[in-house]
Amino acid sequence: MFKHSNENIFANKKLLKVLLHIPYAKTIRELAKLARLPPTTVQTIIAKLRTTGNIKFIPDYQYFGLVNIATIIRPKSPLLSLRPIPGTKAVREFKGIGFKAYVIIALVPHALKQKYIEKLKREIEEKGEIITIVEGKEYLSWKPDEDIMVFLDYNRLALVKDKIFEILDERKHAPKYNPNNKVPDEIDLKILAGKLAWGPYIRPYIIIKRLNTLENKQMPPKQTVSYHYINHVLKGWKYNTYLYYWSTSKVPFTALYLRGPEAPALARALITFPGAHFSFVDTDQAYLFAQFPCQILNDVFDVASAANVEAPLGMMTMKLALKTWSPHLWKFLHKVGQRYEWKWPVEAVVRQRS
Amino acid sequence: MDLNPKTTIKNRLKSNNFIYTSTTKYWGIKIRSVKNLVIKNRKTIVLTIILTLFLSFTTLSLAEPLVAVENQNVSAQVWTQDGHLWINIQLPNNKTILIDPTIGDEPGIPYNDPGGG
Repeated sequence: MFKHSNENIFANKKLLKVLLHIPYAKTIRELAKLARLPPTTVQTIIAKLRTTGNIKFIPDYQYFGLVNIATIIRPKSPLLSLRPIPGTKAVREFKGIGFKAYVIIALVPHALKQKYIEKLKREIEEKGEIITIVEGKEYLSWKPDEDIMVFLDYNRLALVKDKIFEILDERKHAPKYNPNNKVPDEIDLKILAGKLAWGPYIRPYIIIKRLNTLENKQMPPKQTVSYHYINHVLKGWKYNTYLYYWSTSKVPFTALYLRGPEAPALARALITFPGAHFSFVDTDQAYLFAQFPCQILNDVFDVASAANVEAPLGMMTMKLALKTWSPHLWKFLHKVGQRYEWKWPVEAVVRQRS
Repeated sequence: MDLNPKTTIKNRLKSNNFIYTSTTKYWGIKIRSVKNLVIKNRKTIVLTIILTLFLSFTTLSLAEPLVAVENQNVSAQVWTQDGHLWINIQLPNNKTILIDPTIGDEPGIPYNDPGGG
């Protein structure tokens, strides 16, 4: 089953070279240098990789003062229609045993976290019941590393598994979230939103051009954009990652809600398995999204059973949906003199008018 | 046979090769037949287009409006701020709706990602 299309892809040595260097390269040219391949070859390999997965830009959300929030809702009627609140990234439908649930993923400034939760509660009201809200104090994403080799040979997973058990034993600490007090400016947040939506290799100037033409705004000089990108955005860049998507008819997308003192440790351990996508880690709970193939499911539960954690919702499977929004983060900004402040977009104007 | 060096190979083939000419003829006939069909059935095509348009409009008008407001006792203010055009509508029940038409319903830049994280 696992030999379908990805074996041909990952058996390509050049492709593997590119894949292992993706996390550390800011541009395609840099990636070509690291992989010691011509830029055109790298470009064709990236185009090939994009047909089977997604290359993502992973920022340090703490640096930008932002936080990811996953809200799990049990709807009262089978269809839940919600008006998207500013900051919403995606609304996904999940099925568990004996229940249906909706997960709303959002990215908002940490200072406006409570405001977002209030707004969401008001929007849901009688439509459903909030099961839990998981705050991504630590954002984890799978990273193509040495363990990429398990894509080719599943017998090697045994060697990697020892490492995973080590993570489970050693990284039990609660996540620390210290948001940056310095509020980023409009250009920084526009570049960040663009990178999150269009991937790590899009040029910052093109992002600003696309967004400013939508808003009929004047373009800043190229040097200004480049200054903001190098001095502000790149400082908050962690790495890039490549997420491989299996056919959903064979491997469904799943989510796990973990609760307990060792939930952060288990999330950190499970994210290293191939097929894991991302995880939001809170103090004693975590939300993990993954597409674990059947072959490793036994190993996943091997690790999960060793932790002092409970999963009250079990493993939930997702109804396939792709639409995601990279929030208009710069609309949370309010300029006071030369500085910026975080403010909820519409309310700021209402107060001024009244 | 055309011995002019400026004549392209395609043209030479056209003049000599039977299969090539037959295929061009085939396509010529096909296009012509479609054209004839359209001309013959002009009335029905136009009628179906008008009918579908009419039906789509009626179904749209049947959909319930999001906010039902009477025309009396409603005041509206329009102004520009932060490079946006804002509309403030005051409803009879003393509630106000604030709309920025340039923002739209989309809360962000759309892209595809199954997890949404």
